[in-house]
Amino acid sequence: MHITPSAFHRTPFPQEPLSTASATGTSYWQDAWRRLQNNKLAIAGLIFILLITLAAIAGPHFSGYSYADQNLPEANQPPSSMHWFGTDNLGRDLMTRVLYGARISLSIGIAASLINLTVGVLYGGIAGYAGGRIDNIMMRIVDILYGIPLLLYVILLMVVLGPGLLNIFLALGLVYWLGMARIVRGQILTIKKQEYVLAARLTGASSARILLRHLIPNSIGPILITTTLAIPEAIFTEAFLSFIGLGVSAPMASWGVLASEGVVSLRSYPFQLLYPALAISITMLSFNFLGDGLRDSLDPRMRK
Amino acid sequence: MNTTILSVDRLSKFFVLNRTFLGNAAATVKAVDTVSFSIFPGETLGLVGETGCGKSTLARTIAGLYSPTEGKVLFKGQNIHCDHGKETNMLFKRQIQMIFQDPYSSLNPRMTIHDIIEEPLNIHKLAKGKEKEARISSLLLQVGLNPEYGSRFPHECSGGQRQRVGIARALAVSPELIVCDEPISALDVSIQAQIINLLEQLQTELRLTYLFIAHDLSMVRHISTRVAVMYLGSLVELASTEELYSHPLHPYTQALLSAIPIPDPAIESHRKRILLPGDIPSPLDPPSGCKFHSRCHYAMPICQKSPPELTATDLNHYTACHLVK
Amino acid sequence: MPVLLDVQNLSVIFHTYAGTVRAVNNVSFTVNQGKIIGIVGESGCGKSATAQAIMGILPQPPAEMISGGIYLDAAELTALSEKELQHIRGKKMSMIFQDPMTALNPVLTIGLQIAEMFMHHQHLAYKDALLQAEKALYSVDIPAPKARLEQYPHQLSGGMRQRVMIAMALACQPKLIIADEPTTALDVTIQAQIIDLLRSKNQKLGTSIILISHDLGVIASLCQRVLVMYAGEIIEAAPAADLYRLPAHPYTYGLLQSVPRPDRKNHGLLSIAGQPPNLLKISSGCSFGPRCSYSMEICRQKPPLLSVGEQHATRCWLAHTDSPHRQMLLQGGLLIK
Ligand SMILES: Nc1ncnc2c1ncn2[C@@H]1O[C@H](COP(=O)(O)OP(=O)(O)OP(=O)(O)O)[C@@H](O)[C@H]1O
Ligand SMILES: Nc1ncnc2c1ncn2[C@@H]1O[C@H](COP(=O)(O)OP(=O)(O)OP(=O)(O)O)[C@@H](O)[C@H]1O
Ligand code: SF4
Ligand SMILES: [Mg+2]
Ligand SMILES: [Mg+2]
Repeated sequence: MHITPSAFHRTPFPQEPLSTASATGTSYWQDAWRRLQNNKLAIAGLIFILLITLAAIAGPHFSGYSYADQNLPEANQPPSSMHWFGTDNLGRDLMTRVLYGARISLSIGIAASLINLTVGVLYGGIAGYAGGRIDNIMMRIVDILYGIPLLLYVILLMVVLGPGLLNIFLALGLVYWLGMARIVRGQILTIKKQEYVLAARLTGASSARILLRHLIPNSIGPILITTTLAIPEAIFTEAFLSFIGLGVSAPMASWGVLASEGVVSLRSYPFQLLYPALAISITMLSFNFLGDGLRDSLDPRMRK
Repeated sequence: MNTTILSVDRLSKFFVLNRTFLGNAAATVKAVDTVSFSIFPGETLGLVGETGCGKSTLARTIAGLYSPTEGKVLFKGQNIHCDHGKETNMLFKRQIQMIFQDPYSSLNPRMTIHDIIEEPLNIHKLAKGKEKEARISSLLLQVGLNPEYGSRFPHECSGGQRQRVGIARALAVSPELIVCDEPISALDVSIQAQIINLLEQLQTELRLTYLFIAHDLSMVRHISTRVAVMYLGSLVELASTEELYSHPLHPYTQALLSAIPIPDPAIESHRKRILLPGDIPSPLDPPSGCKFHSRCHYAMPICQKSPPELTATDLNHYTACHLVK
Repeated sequence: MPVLLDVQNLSVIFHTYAGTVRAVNNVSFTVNQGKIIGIVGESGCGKSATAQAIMGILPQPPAEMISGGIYLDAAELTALSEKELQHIRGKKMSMIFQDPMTALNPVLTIGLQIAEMFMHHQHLAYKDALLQAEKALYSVDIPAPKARLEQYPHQLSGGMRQRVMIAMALACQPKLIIADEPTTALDVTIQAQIIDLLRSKNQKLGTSIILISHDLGVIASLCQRVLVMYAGEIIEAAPAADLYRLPAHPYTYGLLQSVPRPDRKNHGLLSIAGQPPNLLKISSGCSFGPRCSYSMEICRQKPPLLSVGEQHATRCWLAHTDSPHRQMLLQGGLLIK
């Protein structure tokens, strides 16, 4: 290598530009969304959930049949161009009934997430933020309730309240927020000790400001994940209750009811079980994939 | 110089831990145990001590984040833990600020740098609109950051840059006393000097007073006017920096100073160390009498019985040891 | 002096979500028998990755060793199978970590964990191994070693755990110990105890030690030879005495100037400007260039390792034989400026 003396002249080294590509205002949520997009299963789950929601809203209007109209001559028909999913033993169009079932299942899911978001988040948030004795009493109650499987409570409640859609909402509402309360409280307790919360208290920030600006925005990740994972659980609970006869009553058709009807004629008309069962499993899988995907993309420990 | 800006009077802070299963028999951590000292305007008081000796607890009690178990903290003669009405309380919050150790947990990850610095301005309604934006930019410049950084999130900044943001947030309310709780110990060596230089420069520009906490005795020597040494919740020695480093009187201070490795092999090769035996006792069950007696080479019978008081051995030199009277 | 460990052209990369991290770049050095050699550098400069590559414990994936030869007692370690390596680890070389809690099994007693070393490498019976374990604990000055055998790691203090780690590392009298920041998590008074222990083991047993630290003081108090790492490269290698007296790289010089001395009054700290390097995109020239206040035109090319004295080399163009600044460097000009 030939080196000329001028090579040793002092000159400033070329600097990296200030705003490098990696550091131009990508927020936490943009980052998380990018990671979620890389997760094929979660995206598939999300797409399916959107599709089934659309179908549940619009589908029954377009299928040309009503979920309750009986048509005995066409009973127990296998899938055809007239009835894509076939018909049941009273000649009702199965696809309409499955889509109608989706309405019930999804509204149960939405109800469960609303309960989680209100009761669960508030209960856990208050316990965590207040701390000390209040926290102790509130969480002991949750611990006691949590000791027994939730499904058992719901079954007992349904036996007392009697079947029906409203009663399912009620039964779920009474117990389905326990897990969320625990998670939110844990989050708030850890975040409360973070130095940025101390710094805010030091400047004289009010409790409301600390909750709204610091505690809640930083617990949204886990809250979102828990909500997403609570939906399939609620959907399954409803299906299970309807399956054993404690859920919604005829002629309303939830997936659990359809499945239990399908089981009766499993030998001769297996498709009557197949479609509702598929609907239940794919929906639950979708929510679970999405929830897991959210966990991976939102969990701070997975970051960078 | 004789009027103190802050005086700490027989301050104690105990934490009660429910350790047993039923939560009844409680154990108490005496994190800060009857500590008294004063800080003078414009000085830097260094506070050193090993892990768990109560430095952060003392710092947070002084800043008003913890209420003391006993004793009081007077800021310009007024007890900061008493209720003086909303306005005066808020005034205290402006005058004492803190810089934290962990540049990763001291900034809210969901807020931009701009919003982080804006928050204290909003809380105290110090500025509005254009004026506020100008203030934020000038604060960023003051701590050596390009105002463009305002749009970044904390995770897009390096450790040193985050620490600068923490400093800017503390400066936003124009405090007089800043409690720095190990502001450099989480930073890289080459960045530590940057932050120390910045703190020194800000001190002269804004006439700040610092309580500077660290376990790095070299850095404390560099930045402090006076130094206090803490062991298991108590002050064992307090003196002007030169005095403390050249004539340490307490056996613990002596051991601490001899334990720091000097970055010079020529000196290290023939240096004699005072090695302390054993470990730091648990703060749940500190030794009786002088808390240091279990590791002290000079321990006498009296050391196990009565705790020595912090007494002046010289003008501006206080020691808590039965050997030094 | 016979060479114990010879590392040649070691390069390690990490495949990460954000891209390829070039953690170790063409690192070569040797360790002589019975010597203590220090590796100093800031967080993320590749010290641990170097140590892990030597021990053969790089987490693969994400890590990948893309080049390099590692010779222990002239035996090529990279050619060995995992099984053969396991045999060498513990017996011929062993490692001490910064956080002993991650290296000790929390559900097994200290006694059992040390005894296992003897059972595995020296094929002792459990009883004899336990006796050896007690001796091992005694040799690292742990009080009441017999009682400690029954204890679990969490029942010991940080300093005690580090002593247990040292006892385990020394159990089979290896020729080489790699200590990766062994005192970083400890308090100064406990750190002094551990430094003292390492030094006395080196003197008594003749064990070579690679000491990794970011604390220039700790390195100065133990090491005979020092390697300075920056952005995955060795940028200066020198006998300890020369490195601290006549640093020949602007980074080393800056590092020395940015730590205050505990033993004398300090006037003004010099700090290195800029930010630590980003190993995701290393500049094609001198890796310290963006922060260097001496930079020259030629610095946009990668500087080779240039000799500036006996056993003393620096990766800086200032030291090139054609450089007009070489004399300044050799005479400690960096210090005067
Ligand atoms: N909120 C708390 N509840 C219970 N104990 C606490 C609490 N905060 C601190 N302690 C205890 O008080 C003692 C002093 O803690 P402190 O954090 O003040 O020490 P420190 O000197 O700052 O240590 P470090 O150098 O590790 O920061 C420790 O034993 C600690 O376990
Ligand atoms: N498991 C891993 N996955 C991805 N990147 C890694 C991994 N381990 C290390 N790295 C990267 O490799 C580089 C070198 O890391 P290394 O652990 O060797 O640094 P170090 O010098 O030991 O730093 P420290 O002083 O913090 O221990 C760093 O930039 C780090 O980000
Ligand atoms: S090679 Fe050039 S840029 Fe690199 S350290 Fe030397 S003078 Fe500085
Ligand atoms: Mg602390
Ligand atoms: Mg490391």
